[in-house]
Amino acid sequence: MKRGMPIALGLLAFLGLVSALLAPLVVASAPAQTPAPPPLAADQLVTGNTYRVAGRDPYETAVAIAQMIYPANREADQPTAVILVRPDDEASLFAAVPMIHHPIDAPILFVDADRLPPVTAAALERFKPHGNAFDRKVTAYAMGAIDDAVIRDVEQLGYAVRRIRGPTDSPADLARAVDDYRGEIHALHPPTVVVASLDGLDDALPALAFIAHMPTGYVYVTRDTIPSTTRAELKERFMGAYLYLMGPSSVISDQVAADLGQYGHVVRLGAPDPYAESVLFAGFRDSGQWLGWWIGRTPRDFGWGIAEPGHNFTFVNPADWPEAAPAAIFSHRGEHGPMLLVQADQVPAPVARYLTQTVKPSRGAVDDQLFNHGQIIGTTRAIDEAVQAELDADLSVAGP
Amino acid sequence: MSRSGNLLGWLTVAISACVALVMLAVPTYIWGLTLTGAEGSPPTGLLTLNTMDASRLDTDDPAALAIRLSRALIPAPNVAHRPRAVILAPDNSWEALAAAAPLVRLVEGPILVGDSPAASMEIGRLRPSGIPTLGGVTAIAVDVAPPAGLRAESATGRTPADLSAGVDRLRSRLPGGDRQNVLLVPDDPRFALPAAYWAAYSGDALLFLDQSGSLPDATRAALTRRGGKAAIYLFGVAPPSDLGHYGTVTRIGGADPASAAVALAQFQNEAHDVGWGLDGTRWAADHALVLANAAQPMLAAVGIPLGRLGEYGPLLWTDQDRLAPATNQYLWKTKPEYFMTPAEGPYHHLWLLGGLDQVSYAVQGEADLTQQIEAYRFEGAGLSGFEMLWLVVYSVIRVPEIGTVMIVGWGLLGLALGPFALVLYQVVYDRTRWTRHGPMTTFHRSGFARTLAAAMMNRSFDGPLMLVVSWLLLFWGLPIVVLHGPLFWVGNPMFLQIVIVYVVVLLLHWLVMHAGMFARHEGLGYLAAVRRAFTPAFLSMTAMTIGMMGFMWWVQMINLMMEHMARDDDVMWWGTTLGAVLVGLVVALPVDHWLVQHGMEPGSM
Repeated sequence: MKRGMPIALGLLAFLGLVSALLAPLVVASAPAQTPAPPPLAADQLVTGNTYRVAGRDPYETAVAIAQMIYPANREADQPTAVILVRPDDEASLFAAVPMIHHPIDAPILFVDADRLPPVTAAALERFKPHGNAFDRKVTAYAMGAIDDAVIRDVEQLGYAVRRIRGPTDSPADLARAVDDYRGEIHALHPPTVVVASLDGLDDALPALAFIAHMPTGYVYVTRDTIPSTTRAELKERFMGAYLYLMGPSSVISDQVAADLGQYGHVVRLGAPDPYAESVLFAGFRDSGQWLGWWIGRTPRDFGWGIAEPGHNFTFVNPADWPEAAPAAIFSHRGEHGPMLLVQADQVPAPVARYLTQTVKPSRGAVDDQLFNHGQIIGTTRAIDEAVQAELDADLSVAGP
Repeated sequence: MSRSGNLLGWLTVAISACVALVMLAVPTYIWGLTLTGAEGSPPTGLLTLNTMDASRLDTDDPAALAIRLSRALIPAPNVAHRPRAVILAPDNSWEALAAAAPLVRLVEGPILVGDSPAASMEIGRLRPSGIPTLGGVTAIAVDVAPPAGLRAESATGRTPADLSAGVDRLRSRLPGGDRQNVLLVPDDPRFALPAAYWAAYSGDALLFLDQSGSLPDATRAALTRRGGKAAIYLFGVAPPSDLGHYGTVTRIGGADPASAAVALAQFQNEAHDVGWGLDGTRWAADHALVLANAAQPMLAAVGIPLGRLGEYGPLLWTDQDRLAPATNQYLWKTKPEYFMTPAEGPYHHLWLLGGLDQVSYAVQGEADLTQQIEAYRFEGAGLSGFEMLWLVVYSVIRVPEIGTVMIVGWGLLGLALGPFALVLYQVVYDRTRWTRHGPMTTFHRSGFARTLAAAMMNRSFDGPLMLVVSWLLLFWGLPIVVLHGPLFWVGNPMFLQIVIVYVVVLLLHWLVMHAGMFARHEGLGYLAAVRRAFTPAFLSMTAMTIGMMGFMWWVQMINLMMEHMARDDDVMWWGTTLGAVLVGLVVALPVDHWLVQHGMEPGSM
């Protein structure tokens, strides 16, 4: 009899476990508490080939972008989690962008260091994230230096929060913490790495859309130095890295480029200005062998390489970077196209040339037509109506 | 026959029953989620009514919608995009807008409705360049008075048929004369408006039938002018008896208006150049589709320029709160799929006409989901549970000699492997001699059938158990430990999952199922049975784990992770893991064979 007792107890425990597990499958979920709807942002002009997504401030714009990607009508279009970032530090915000991609699959929402803004709180109440099954069902990531009080407010809304934070609050350390976390999920640090300069962030902006589109490392250097945390991050790469330097030698010096050579293959993407850089990046692609033995050769792949019609483009003004970074998610789901940089009141010449000469669709058979589409990010102060109209004309099907 | 053997037997059965419960409940739950679209959030607090693949023109007023659309389609009336003329129509007659549709191709410009100051201002903004082949007119008034101060043509008529014949006469004055193609529509917006979108794209003539479905005089006259050579496309109704006199007749229709709209979207006659031809066979083409509520025909009618301008395409019908079945099916059928990377396209775009009272946010969300680009392989698969029922019922009725533990095990295998389990069952039991010693039955097999029987006993317990324990861990969320250095992958969530599953299932397999089997079959005490069971349990389970988990890693970590998060409520995870159980079974077979050959494992259950 004595021998039977632990077995019987074990059986009971097992049955209890299973019923505990099945309970949530049976019990219908409680209706969500919904706050009063905020007014619709006025600035949302739709044209034949573009739509505009803008709120009255970056907090609202981030929420609007998140709602476009995750309408949250059903289980299938809820995010896995949300990424909470401060909108006041450009380099740290950019470093959070690699968190967007699968398997995390999450939009960027803004919080202040010491405050959960109401519009973000309302969005958090509306979303019902699945939770990251590869990390104890975490539903929110708090990036960098955010007060415990804000985390508690988020937890009050039913979120399971994980902090992603480096040993210091430098952007390079945050970039490394992101790389470590994502690397652990994949059991792999991606061999392709975007090298951004803290002295030329506008040049790095176009790469963010690609990083949201395909798992890619993201590290920081300055014009003349490589931080030790960046060196350590690059050393984590198995069989060396493929490094893509965003910007000309005025933002990443030739000396730094040469020094980076010890960590892998270095390619500089250096255009005269950030607008031309975005066009260069949209057309750039580098692929080839990564790992290879006699069996199971594995490719590496970096860059869009888009030089034909039938694509979508995200248009941002680099001066409006707090709204540009969350918009990288358009390349993660649905649109999958490059980010092109424009000025508030004009389409820079390299961008106009690319749109009208390289990727312009023309009218073909009705069942074989290609369309280009543009996402215009930010208010008319960031990108004015005339620029949107010109972009619409540039994107549209040519001919009568 | 020891007491502990019996207890362990019942414990094995209990664990198996729990496993079966989870294996039946989870796919049912996933299926339910898919069907009901559960876990949605209410459409409150929205900051935009666009979604990634859908632009919404959210006004319910036809005149305002017409101006919004004009501004959207021609945002910068510069030389490249300047319309030749505008079309003017009343704001309460979808018939007039349908009749005007063939003119859109001619003017390459918008339709404005009503005579508000806003419409005049819009004409001023557009500054039409004039139609050279029509005396340089900058406006065509259909069923409204031509505006003062503009050089205009007009078409009038008392009935829709008169009006459309008037537009047709106007067109016949252009170089090239009458269009051979005629779209013949009933006086029903649900059939006429999808045809009008094609007329806007192509410039093909659109003529009306009367209320009773026969040919009015005006329509008859327009057809007669074509000298019996018209290519007539008839929408939605039976052809009038004498229609064949006027040319060839092709019916485009469906069981209901939504099906008819889908039929036109898919239809193509290359000889006449009629029809959108968006039937899913051109997988490199981008599609744009217009969704409107059939209960508000004016909004759909004002959207007619979307058949020609911007990202243009056919009109499809939806209800306010759900996608019409035919439309839903068509949208899923044409879901864009990429081959190598999602950056290659194609991309589809949707237009939604009207506010949330016309087309709900739930409909938009579902339609957007159907048009979001995905990899071909993420289509769902299911599991029936019928194989389990058959195996258990058949065994109990026809082969009661199989022990209870084994019957339950076969049931689980049926759940895990489906039809594969039926084949294995047949190999193991069909025409097998058996003898009875006391309460135990021994099946006498030879060769590989013994190995299979032993393998089935092992896998029927640990295969489903590994599946369910893996699922439970995923359901609760896997642990992750962020590490540095060459062994950083030890903290990977899936690696930790594999270690936990292996340890938990090996212990249960060894101490409960396998030890119990030896206790019953060989009359051993518990400790002796545990000692006897260790080698076969450890070797067989380890081989199984290497096969199953290796396959899971390959599929889920290397192949799926870049695009798709493993999730507990995802049929993709469940399906690939079931596949992994089968792989584990195959990989462990040589080990089971070796164990049977060396007498460490019986093959007689």
